[in-house]
Amino acid sequence: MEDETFKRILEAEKKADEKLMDARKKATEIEREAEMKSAETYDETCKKIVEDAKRKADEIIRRATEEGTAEAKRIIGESEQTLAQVRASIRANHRKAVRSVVDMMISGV
Amino acid sequence: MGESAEGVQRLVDRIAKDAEQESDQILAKARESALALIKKKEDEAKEKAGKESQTILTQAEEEADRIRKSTIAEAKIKANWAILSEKDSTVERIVQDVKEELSKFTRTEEYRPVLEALVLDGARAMGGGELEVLFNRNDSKIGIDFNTLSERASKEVGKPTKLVASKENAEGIGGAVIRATDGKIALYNTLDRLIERRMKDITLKTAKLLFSE
Repeated sequence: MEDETFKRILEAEKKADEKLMDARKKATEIEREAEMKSAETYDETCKKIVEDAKRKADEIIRRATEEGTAEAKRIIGESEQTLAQVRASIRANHRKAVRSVVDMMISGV
Repeated sequence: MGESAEGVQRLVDRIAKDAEQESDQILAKARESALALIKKKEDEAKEKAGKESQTILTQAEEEADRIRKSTIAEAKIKANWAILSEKDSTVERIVQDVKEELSKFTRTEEYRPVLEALVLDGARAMGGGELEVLFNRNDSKIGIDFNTLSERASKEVGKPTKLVASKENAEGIGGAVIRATDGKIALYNTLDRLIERRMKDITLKTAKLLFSE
């Protein structure tokens, strides 16, 4: 009877040890997977953040190019207006200027 | 089942239950560590990539600023160049027209005293003496009185001065070249040279008349 009891207890302890061993095995597997997963997460997170920054950078440059071009267009437009005014002034005063320079040349002799 | 058998069963159950609990704890702890590790790596990634992304954005802002400034500067240069170029070519056209007007003027009666003044001015500048005067073909036909001019020059210079017409002709629209008879020194009082000498005044006058607002 005592042998039987002892046998049952040993068996129970054996099963318990197996269960624990199995749990430790699973835990090791979980930790190993976590190592891999964490490396992947690290790379993916980095990649995502950097790609997002690159997209924002592209957008910043695109917007600056657009703004610069618009401002350049405005400057050229204004200069064309100024040029038109200059040309009108030249047309209106060309003869007068020639006459004035000729008079200056003759009177300076 | 006797009391003893029940006791053994309770012990066996207890062993199994303890093993179950400990096993659950091991797995829970493993899962917790796994989650913590992933979270830690994620945080590290965020910090590292955050710095990298800040650098990317700062560089982009700098590049954007450079693009904006250079595009605007280029436009300003282009705009100013267009206006300056127009003004420059206008001054060139004015000079050309002035030459034409002066050329017409050389065919009027009013030109003679101007031509005489240019000869006298040249004689003064040369310091008198024996001088020959070169005109272009048109001015040679005007018939300048060199004797009278020589007398006036002598008085003005305070030294005997003899002006004679050269057999050679000067180039250009008018005026005179006064040259020492030995040919060593010559003074160009031609209208073309006068224009060149007074180019700065011409440009200023033209600019004042045409471009001042």
